[in-house]
Amino acid sequence: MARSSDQHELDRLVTEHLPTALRFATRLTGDVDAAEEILQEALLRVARSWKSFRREARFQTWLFRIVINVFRSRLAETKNRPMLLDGEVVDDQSTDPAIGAQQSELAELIAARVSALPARQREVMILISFEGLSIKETASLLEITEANVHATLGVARARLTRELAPYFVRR
Amino acid sequence: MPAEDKDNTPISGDSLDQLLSDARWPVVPQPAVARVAQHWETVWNARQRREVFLRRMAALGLAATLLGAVTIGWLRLRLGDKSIADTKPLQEISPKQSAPTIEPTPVVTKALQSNDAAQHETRRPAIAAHDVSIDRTHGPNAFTDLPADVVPSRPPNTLEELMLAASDHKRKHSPTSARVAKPSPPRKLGSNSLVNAPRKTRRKAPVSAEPSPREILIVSGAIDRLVADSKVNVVKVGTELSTSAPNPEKLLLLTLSRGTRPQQIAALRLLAETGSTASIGPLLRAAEEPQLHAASVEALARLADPSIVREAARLEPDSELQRTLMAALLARGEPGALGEFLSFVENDRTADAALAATQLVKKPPMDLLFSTFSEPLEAHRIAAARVIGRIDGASTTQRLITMVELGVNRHEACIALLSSRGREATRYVNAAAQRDPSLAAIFSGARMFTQLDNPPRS
Repeated sequence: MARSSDQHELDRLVTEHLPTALRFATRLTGDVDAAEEILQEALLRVARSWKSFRREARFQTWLFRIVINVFRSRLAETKNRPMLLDGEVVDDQSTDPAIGAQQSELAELIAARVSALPARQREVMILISFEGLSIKETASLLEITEANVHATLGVARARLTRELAPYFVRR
Repeated sequence: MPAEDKDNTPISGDSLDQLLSDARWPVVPQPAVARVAQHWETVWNARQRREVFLRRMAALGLAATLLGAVTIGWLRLRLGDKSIADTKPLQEISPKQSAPTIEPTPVVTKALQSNDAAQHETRRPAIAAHDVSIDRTHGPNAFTDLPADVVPSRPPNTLEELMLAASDHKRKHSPTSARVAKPSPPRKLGSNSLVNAPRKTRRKAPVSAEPSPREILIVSGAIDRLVADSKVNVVKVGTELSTSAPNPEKLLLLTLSRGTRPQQIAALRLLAETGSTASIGPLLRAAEEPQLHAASVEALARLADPSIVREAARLEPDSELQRTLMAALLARGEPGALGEFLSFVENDRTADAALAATQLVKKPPMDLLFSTFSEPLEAHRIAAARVIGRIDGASTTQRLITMVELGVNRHEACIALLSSRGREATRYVNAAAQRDPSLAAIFSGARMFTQLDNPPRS
């Protein structure tokens, strides 16, 4: 494929995957503003290194890898301070205000717990449980073995189970 | 439910998954997506523009490189053609054209010139002439051109390496020397016949041919004559040898390597008369033998390249032989040899010996020395002035006085006059200094250059 058509294709793919990537970054950071910053930097890297994208790979995986790299860089800069959720607008579709408020609070809490996991556990958990990537894809994206993915996922789930135990009872 | 019960309640993986499915992160607002999309558009467009720019720059750079290469190639070709075209006329310039042009009044000039010629010849009869039309730069290698049975296969020693290196260096850097053609009047042998003998034209080593029995007889006869009588006229014997034997050099070198000491010395004396560049190597080796040293050095002074003679003079421990070598350089009457000689005058340690050597030269190359006054190097000009002053002579003094009066190379002429030991020069210096304050100042300034060779004048 000629270079110009490659460029057009890349532009199309980026534009198409922007919302997904922003959502992924939001889940990683737990904060929309921080996610926006991360994605902007990630897009700079995409523009800089788009020639390294191999067409046989999934574009989403490639884009997520760049987002994770930027996220790790930011994390290293900010000494891994998880951003707790504040009173932002949530996607609350509940009809009963009381129940809705209670459920919304719990949903935010769960998200906050996921976003407060250690970086590697958080990445694995979000990629597999929320972005729907397979173990193999996650291992490839994070450049670790599948066994490592399994182990990390197990640790993350155990931690969340322990932290969210009271809510199992409540539910 | 009690707290303990709560803790003990088993939690399945499905329960966690169900709980996780309820997780709700802040909703990404549409403006945020729009901002990121806009950012991407900006970044991507800038990147594309940059890539286009870089591609164009690369193409421009390539084009510029190609253009530069073509231009350089073209210029080099043109300059090459031009330099070839320019060198031809330069080579045709005669030595007379490089001499200083003094423009005195016609009456004075004619009188001086005629006077100069007459007095010079009266004072110093022309007993030597110099055939200086030599092409050393294209001379054969002294070692490679030697006959195989004469040259022993050994590496050159330190002295030889030094001299060969100096020779190579000189060949690389010496400009094409203007040749000074001189008539060749009949020679007379004097006390310094070696110095004042006509310079042998540097000949290529003759093609090696087996000497005939007749040649062997002639050469051995000549050697026997010199061995029997050391005072025999070696020039005459050498001339006879050259005319009767076509290639005596090989036999002489053979004698040098295998003969007895007297025969070797005789061979060296004959080589000085009949030898070529092929003899330089054996002569350098023979110079290491104490008994053959003097004869070898004298032959080298005749045959070797000026740079080799310079090195030989520099390394020569015997002051008389050193002066002989220096005088040989001056006597050659070539710009290259004169440059080597003047370098001795410029050096404080060898200046006295070099100036004393001027007295050994019967007919120094005066025109060439005067032409040095036009050289850009002040050290060369001053050295030439000191040499001219030391050579002295009535005609030279008159020429120098004329130059001072006309303001032609006045500084150098003043140095030469101050270096002169002649009474006429002294008288003129004193009178001119009293008559003209500006000349007095010039003489005063020039005196510092001559204090090394002459005591202060009264």
